[in-house]
Amino acid sequence: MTDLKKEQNLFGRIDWISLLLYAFLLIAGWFSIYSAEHKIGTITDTVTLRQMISTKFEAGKQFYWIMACFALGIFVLVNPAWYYNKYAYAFFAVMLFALILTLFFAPSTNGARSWIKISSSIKIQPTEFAKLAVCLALARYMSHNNFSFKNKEDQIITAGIIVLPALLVFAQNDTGSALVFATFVLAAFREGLSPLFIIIPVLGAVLCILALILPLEWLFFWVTAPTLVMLAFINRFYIKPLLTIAVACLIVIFSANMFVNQILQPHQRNRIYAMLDPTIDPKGSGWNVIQSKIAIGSGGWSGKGFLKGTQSKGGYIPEQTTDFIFCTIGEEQGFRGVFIFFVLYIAFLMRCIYIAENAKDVYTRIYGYAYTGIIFFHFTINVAMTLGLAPVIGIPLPFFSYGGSSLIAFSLGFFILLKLHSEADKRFAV
Amino acid sequence: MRTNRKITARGKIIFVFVCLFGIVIIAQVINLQFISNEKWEKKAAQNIIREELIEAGRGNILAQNNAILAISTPYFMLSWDTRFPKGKDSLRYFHNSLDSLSDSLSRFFGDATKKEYREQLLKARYSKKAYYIINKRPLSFDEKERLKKWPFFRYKTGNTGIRFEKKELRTYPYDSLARKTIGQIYYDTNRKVFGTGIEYAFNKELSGTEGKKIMQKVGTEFQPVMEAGEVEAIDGYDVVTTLDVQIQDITYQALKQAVKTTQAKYGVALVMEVKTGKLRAVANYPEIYQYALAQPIEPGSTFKLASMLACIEDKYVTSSETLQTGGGKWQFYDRTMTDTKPHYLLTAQKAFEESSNIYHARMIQKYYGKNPVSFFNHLERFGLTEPTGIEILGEPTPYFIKPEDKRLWNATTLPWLSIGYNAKLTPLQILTFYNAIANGGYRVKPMLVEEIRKTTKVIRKYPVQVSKQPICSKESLAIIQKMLEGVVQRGTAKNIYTPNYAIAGKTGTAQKVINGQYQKTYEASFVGYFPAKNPVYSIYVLLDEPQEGFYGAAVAAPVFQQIANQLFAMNQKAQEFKDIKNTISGELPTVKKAFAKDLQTIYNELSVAYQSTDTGNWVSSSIIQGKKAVKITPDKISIYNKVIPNLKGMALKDALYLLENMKVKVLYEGQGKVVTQSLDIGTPVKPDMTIMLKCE
Repeated sequence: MTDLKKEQNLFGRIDWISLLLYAFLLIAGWFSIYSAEHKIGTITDTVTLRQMISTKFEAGKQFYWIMACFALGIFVLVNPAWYYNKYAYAFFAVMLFALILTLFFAPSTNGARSWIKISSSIKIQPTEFAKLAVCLALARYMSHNNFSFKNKEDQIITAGIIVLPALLVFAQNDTGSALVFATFVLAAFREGLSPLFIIIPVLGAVLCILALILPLEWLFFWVTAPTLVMLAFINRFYIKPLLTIAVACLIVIFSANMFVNQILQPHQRNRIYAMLDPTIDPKGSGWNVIQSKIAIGSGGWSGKGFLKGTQSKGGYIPEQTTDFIFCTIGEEQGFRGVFIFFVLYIAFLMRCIYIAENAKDVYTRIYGYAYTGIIFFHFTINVAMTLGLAPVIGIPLPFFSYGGSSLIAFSLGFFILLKLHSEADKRFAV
Repeated sequence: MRTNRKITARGKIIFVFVCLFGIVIIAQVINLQFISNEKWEKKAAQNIIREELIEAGRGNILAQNNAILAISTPYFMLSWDTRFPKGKDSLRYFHNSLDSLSDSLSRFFGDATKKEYREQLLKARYSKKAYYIINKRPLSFDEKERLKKWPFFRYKTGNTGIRFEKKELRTYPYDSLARKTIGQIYYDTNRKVFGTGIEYAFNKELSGTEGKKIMQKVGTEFQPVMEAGEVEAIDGYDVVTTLDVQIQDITYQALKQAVKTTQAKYGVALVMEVKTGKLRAVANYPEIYQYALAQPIEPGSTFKLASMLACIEDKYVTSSETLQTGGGKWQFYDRTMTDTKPHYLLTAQKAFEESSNIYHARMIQKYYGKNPVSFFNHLERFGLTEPTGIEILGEPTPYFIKPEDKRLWNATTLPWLSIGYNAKLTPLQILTFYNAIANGGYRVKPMLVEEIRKTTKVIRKYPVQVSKQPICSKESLAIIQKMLEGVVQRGTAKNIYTPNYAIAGKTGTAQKVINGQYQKTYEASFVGYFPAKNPVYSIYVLLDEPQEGFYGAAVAAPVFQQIANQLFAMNQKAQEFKDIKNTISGELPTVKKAFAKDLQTIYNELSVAYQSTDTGNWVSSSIIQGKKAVKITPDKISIYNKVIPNLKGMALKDALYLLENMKVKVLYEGQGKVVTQSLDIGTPVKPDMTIMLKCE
């Protein structure tokens, strides 16, 4: 087969590496759910295909979602790519509307109003699709000719596309998912946004955490003393920025302290403190983190074996098939499994970035970065929270966690990327 | 071909950024899984899941007619985790309620004053014990329900640390009746079970299957894992024994009386149904050891039956065979054997009736002295050398000094064996042999348990086992039966002769061996069966070391007679009842008061026409003038006359109400509707009466 023929045929133009990685993640996730669900007494000790595809179990339901994803993938791949460009705003508008609807009609689940009940057994979480809508809208807007971050209008509209849905999600009391929208900064950065937009929030977050861990007097001392020392020595030209930074740091430190201790709701505050030190409240907010760390920590090098995790069996970890699915891998597969999981996951992310970076059109590139950013954020925060490195915000591990909405949304996003990538040559070559 | 492989600087920064996060995460994973791995493994080990057993209800032991010999009834203990109630308000609540609680407890139990209870509770409270039992005696279900309603126990459910713990109490409605045969089980510290009697032998059937629930440690305490569900406990089966409460009682009372009047050390009485081998009574007095089924003793003269039968079977002797007995003293080598009365020339029949030691010893010496093994072959055929296989564990194998045992066997062994020494058999083993004679020469395996049931459903039925081969020929049997009848007609047991029915049997008086020496202490026994012509029961009676007269005839035979008389009377009644149908020609039978359904059943059986104005359980009947029929009318007074009503199918609650009004003590098992009741319908109510109810 010649290269030319290969180029013309869809089969040849698909990025098989990412697709295989994607398929692997889905299947590994399916097994993990099965194992996580494997509570003592609920399922027999042997793995049977019947159980794995039985709708009585979450693993079984996940199996049908996975099947649906592949069907969806085929649908996306055989339809033209220009749909996504053309209908990006329309989709965005629909999702905004859906988010508003959710705000009013969704019943409260775990304190958040983010699920719309379609029937007694089907619920969808519009947030998952809203993220995708933002990716598409952002790509569409930022890929227009003459787009520049120096342009006020462009700045405002870009910010609007990101912030508007984020605010709606925040209003649903789903803080975790709202934070996800911050990752669009990555894509924006790639398109020329100042790195300060990344550096300042990251440093700010670090300062905030320090403000909560260390006594305020200490921090005050360690900010003011070096500043005063430096003031004595540095060029007059730098005095103003130095003071600005110092004052900004102090403001962040004090306001973070005040924010957490006085403005945040108790359960949110507890989560943050529990992340910093789970032993404060081992039976309450610290419970998940401690149990999750026990699960992963006790896995050791080789793990306890598939379906043999005592923490999983005992049902010690809440939300184990969804937010804490990583524990199952850590406990049962040990470091070996975790390492393979990381390598493959990061390979998948890298491949997506690679696709985006190598895209021949701006639309695909921006979309690719935006999409990868979301997956990356989910992956990092989810894994970090199970390891006790990040506060417990309920966001799923893409492709692994049980749940139709997130799986379908992430998969749809991935297949759009694949499709855009497969048609990039066509659009530009002609 | 892809051409653009150049990656911009910003792209690289993003790569690095992603990698940085990855490194932090991997570092933490390494930290958890390698560096602090041990700590987490330890913690995981503390997250224990354990299986807890749910005890199964123990099955009942029943006698004939569903009489309950042993039943498990639930009772409750009131335990208190003295660290509760916790919290400010609850604490105040506790101190405020202390007075009223102590008062209530004192009134309820009546075993200590209010002040004492108050002090005990406070002391327990300050000891901070996690487990303190408040009640000193077990609480019944009713009492528990009443206590539950006390305000303190209701306070914020669970917050007071109060718990009612269910336990099971094994109770014996007939008290000491056949207690040793019912037996008992114990557990040692390793929960290994051991014990005695039917309780132990049928422990597997009675104890059922324990259930399981999965408990998980949450913080410091174990809680059941809800999702895991639980394996329900399966209650044990009921064991239906062949014992008959009435016969057992008759037997026991007769034995008890005899042991007391003769000042015997202990006594044994067994009643066996001839055709089936079913033991209707197994009495030991005092009921401290299972002598009847497990104590080997030297049988003494009762063993002469075996000696005589062997000779008859080998056609060495007939009932008219004569032998010289030398005036009551005979020298066998270095030992002298004596008879209780001097006899001279005796026929076999006479010798057996008079229980001449010398005759039997000489006879056996004469015919088997040179070949003792052939005598043992007879014993084997009689089934005397093997255990009977009674269900109760611990039945010893009969013991004989055998010819091959050169150390113990000497020239006098055989003559003394012929009169029941140098051998040890249990009372049951002797009785089984006599029973075979009563049963036309066919051995029947004695049985104590006939069925294993789950409430009313039969799970297993133990068949009657009759030997295929008789132990002797018909001719021999006729001769030996005649001899046994002669014993009562003319012989050593003529004191119990009655013209009403013929008894066949044999007295036994054995000198006891203590430290290898025959002492002047005796075991007096009588074994036999009746009615001699068509035997229904075989009975064994033994009195150990009676002080008042030691001959079997003098002390044991009357016990036999007493039991037999009552059994005969019982049987007679049954017989008469059966005959009513045939004799009903003149006046129609009427009753003053009867249970309606039963009466109808009887009339149906007897084909008596009756009219029924169907109301109420209790009825009377009267003859309708001019017609050959009776009229059943409700008996209004009966409800006020205190008799035990039919409680079957009645809700437990109603039954309790009814019975408590009658001042009948109630012990019950289960919940729901009454399935069985221990007292028969119509039993007149006496003070301090107790009834057992089983409900489902």
